[in-house]
Amino acid sequence: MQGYELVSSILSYVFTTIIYIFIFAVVGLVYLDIKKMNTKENETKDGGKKTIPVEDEDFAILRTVKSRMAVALKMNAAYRISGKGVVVGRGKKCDIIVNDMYLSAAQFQIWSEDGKWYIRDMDSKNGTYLNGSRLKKIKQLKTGCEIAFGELKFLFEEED
Amino acid sequence: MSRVNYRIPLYMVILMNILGFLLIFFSNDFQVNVLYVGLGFMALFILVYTVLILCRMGDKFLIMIVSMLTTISILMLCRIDLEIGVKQIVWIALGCIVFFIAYVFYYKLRFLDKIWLLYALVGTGLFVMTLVLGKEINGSKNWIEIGGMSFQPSEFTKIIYILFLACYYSKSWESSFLKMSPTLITGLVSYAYIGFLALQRDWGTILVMFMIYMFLMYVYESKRRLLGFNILMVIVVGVLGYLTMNHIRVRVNVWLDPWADPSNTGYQITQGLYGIASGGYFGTGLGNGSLQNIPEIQNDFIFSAICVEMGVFGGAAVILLFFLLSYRCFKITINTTNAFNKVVGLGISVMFSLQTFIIIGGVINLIPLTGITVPFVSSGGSSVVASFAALGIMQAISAVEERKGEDYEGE
Repeated sequence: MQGYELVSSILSYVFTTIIYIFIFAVVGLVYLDIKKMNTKENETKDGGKKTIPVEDEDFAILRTVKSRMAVALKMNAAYRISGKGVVVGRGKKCDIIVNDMYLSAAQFQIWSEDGKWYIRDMDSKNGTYLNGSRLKKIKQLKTGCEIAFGELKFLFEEED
Repeated sequence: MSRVNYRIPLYMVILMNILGFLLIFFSNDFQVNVLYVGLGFMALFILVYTVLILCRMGDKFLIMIVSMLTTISILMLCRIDLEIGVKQIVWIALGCIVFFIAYVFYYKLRFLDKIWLLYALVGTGLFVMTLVLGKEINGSKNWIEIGGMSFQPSEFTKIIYILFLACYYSKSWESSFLKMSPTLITGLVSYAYIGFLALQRDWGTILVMFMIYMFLMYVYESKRRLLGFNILMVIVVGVLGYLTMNHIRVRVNVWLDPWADPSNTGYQITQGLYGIASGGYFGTGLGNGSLQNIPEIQNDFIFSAICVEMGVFGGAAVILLFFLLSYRCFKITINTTNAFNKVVGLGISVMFSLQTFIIIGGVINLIPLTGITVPFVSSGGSSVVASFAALGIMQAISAVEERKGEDYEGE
């Protein structure tokens, strides 16, 4: 079986080539996949804020707690916010712009998912406080929660 | 690369099959039966792929990668022993049927996340059945013989166990049962399963199950203390096992120094290592290597056989293929929105990757050797069928996501 050995050892190179062409083709498709994921993420970044889609839109109200600072900054008495996601901060792209020098460009974000409301601090410099404790991760909001940031305070109220 | 060519991988698998079976045809003194077997295997794969495309059953890569893996495995097995190879093809055919059954069941049944008790009972039942009817092969009592065919229930228990854990971690099961909280019951069932497996001395499966439990707990459990407790338990069980079981001590000692006793306890692993070294970069070619020295070559040590005859590049290709398979599984898991599907997907991804890591790591002496099968590659009916069932579930999860928003036709 001299012939067989020769054929077999030649074919071993062919097999290796075939397998690697296969792997290369699949990796190529994987590469396209990852590229697609990247563009999706960039789109949301360009939009300025992360919007979380909801089926039925929820609304809530942020009431400004009266203080000298609130008057000086000409804050509204209340803000009606939608569950699609609202960013509060000093930056021009924010949904609620508060010109307080202690705030970061984007201070915190509030949104709703499945009828529940959540808040997260957007890595602000001076921090956001929920009921007196500093926000470190995503927390759920309920009616009556007190959100403090800079020298201002909001009271959160869910709308039915 | 504006247009994606899905066909190249497909052609490669077909080409590999044609050349491979021609070679086996050559080595078996030109028996025409071999060609029929090869054609049958190829037709099976093309049929599955076509059904998948026509019925839009989700991800196309899973079955593609698996078909390449099974092709490599079938060529290797046919070369080792034509009879084993043919038997394996029959098992793969059965596996494909189970694949579609698992797909349809998982896709259509909507109450799978409610029946945790059934999973727990079926799993326990399979274990009890093994203990009562079991037959001992290679030091592990984990086989049942029914009508001349042996079958290994623990392969299926793994999948049932993943479904069971998914009920708990997807939070669709929150009510307590018999005054015990779900957390406690999950822990008890997990340790009971591990106890059963310890009685069967099936250490590889224990490792896989425990790791699945740990991974899911790491991802989903908010109480870090529970995770810490379980890690402590692993250490305690490991140390106890090492001290009391001679079997484990031998394995660990062989792992630390395989050359201490190469003719007796270290025989299998050293022969495997010799084999891997003898293959070189491209291997000796199918049929040219000397495989008769390596025990269990068609099961646990199939990776060594691939390294001998297809070379280091062939062995690395198998690892890369498994890498791509787990990538794909993890991607499907990330994309799903359903909580239950997410846990099941994660469990199956972890199962595939861990099982491959544990056995290939064992064969190349990276970790202590435990006898489990390489999914889709090792010979053995239950392993192949169970792997295909898990793949069917994965396929269903990907299909749920892909078909979302479409109108259900004919329902």
